[in-house]
Amino acid sequence: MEEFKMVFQIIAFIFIIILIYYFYRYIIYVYRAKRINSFTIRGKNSNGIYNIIYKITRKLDNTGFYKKRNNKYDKYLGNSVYNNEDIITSKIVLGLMFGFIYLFECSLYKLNLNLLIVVVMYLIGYYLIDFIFGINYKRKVLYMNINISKVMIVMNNCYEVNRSHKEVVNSIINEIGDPLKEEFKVVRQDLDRGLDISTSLYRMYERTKISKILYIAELLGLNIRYGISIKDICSVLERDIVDREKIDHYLIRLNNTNKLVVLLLANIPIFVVGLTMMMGVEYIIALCGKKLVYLIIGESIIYIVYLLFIYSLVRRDV
Amino acid sequence: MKKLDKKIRLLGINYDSHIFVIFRLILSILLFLYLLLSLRLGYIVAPLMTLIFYSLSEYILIDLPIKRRSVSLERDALDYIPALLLNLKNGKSVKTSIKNSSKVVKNELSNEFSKVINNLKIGFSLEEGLEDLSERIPNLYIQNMILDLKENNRDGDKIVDSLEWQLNSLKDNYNQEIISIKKMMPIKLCLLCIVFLAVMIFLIYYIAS
Repeated sequence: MEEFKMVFQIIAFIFIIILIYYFYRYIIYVYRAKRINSFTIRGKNSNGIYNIIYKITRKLDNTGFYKKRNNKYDKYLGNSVYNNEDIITSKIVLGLMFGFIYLFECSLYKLNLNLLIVVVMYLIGYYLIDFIFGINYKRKVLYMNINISKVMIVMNNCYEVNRSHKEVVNSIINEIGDPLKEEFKVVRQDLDRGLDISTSLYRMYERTKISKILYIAELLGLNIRYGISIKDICSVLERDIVDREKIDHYLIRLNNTNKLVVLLLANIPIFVVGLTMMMGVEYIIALCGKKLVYLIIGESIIYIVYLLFIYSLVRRDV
Repeated sequence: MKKLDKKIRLLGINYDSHIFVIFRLILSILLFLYLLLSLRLGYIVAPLMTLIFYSLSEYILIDLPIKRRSVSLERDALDYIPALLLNLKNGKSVKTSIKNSSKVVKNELSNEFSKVINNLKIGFSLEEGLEDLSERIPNLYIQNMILDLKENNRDGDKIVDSLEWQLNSLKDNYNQEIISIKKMMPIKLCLLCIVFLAVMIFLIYYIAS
């Protein structure tokens, strides 16, 4: 039985990951259900996990716990009905769940309880949602970055027929597909609250960090502040942004051709070192003795640093 | 010393070159003495290492940052120069268009141009201000554009077309630079792989011995 302990642990780990994935999907489903809750007969308290999260959120909100939290998740949530507070509560709940998973494993395999690992597990659970949201948002931004020329085409045509800024944003929302549409809905909200088009686009740049949006915001500012002709500005913008997108597409193609090289080179060190260690396991154990643990930790740290270096080289800037 | 002063001005800062020279001299003397006294073959290693340190320090601390600044200013110019051109096309003067576009566009190059407007308030003429600006900017294409602006201010010739050509050549140069960096990526990855493989094997050897 001792020999299969490692295999059991791996299976348990995979099982936990699948569980977390389904938990995440369930939360999304529950949040979507919340949107139609006010129109249903059953009312708000009909959902399982969300019900618990909602109750905790309300209780913590009464104590003033959320007043200190910033609006960090606004940009991830966009125009939807989710709250910042709900996300923070589910983060706390997930953190506690991860802590309990460790405690459960300790009791199962009769391990000694380590407080440091409990804290580490809690932190992993706490930042898991940030990680998932971050990756999704990054993907969205990369998609938006290579589709801004569509926005520019619509904008240019609308300004050619002398439409106002609000009408232009409305027609962008009507014409263009999703990730950009959501962002422009936020821009429309900003316009409704009295900001000018340049400032609201600058706020969009602050959310997405796409340099093309900053360029559009800056040049439209010329029209608003100094009365430079908007038709001239739009024709310049359209030409420049299409040019920049052309280069972006070329760079993406280059990156795709380099993908195989990157995959191969990223795995070579671990493959070579692993092979040398696997070929003579007894030899290496005899040589290193008790230092074997330090060897494995050192090798893994160097490998992680190597992967980070590769990431910094391969990373696509927006 | 004058050469160093010019180089330091290209970094966009106003430090005296004497401080750098004195620090470099003191550090190289200390390095020389340390290597001479501590190593067995110090009489060979110390002068060689001191020479390398003396020459590399200028390259690392001044020349490399100038190159980086040149590329970043090129990137900023792609945002700034179209704004300037739009102002000029709409019939504004050179001074007004610099003023307007440096208020709207916020980056390093626009800060440099807004320094020209600040100099005008002190009592500089526009030509002097632009000349001062061209001494602070390491990029060749932007220097050409500033020369264009200066000539226009003096003689009043047609500027928009020539500035557009300069801008197009700057765009081409910037794009080629990005593409060349991406094309260099596999070679850099290979070098990284070799270095880290050597480090990992050295660690096995070090712990085993």
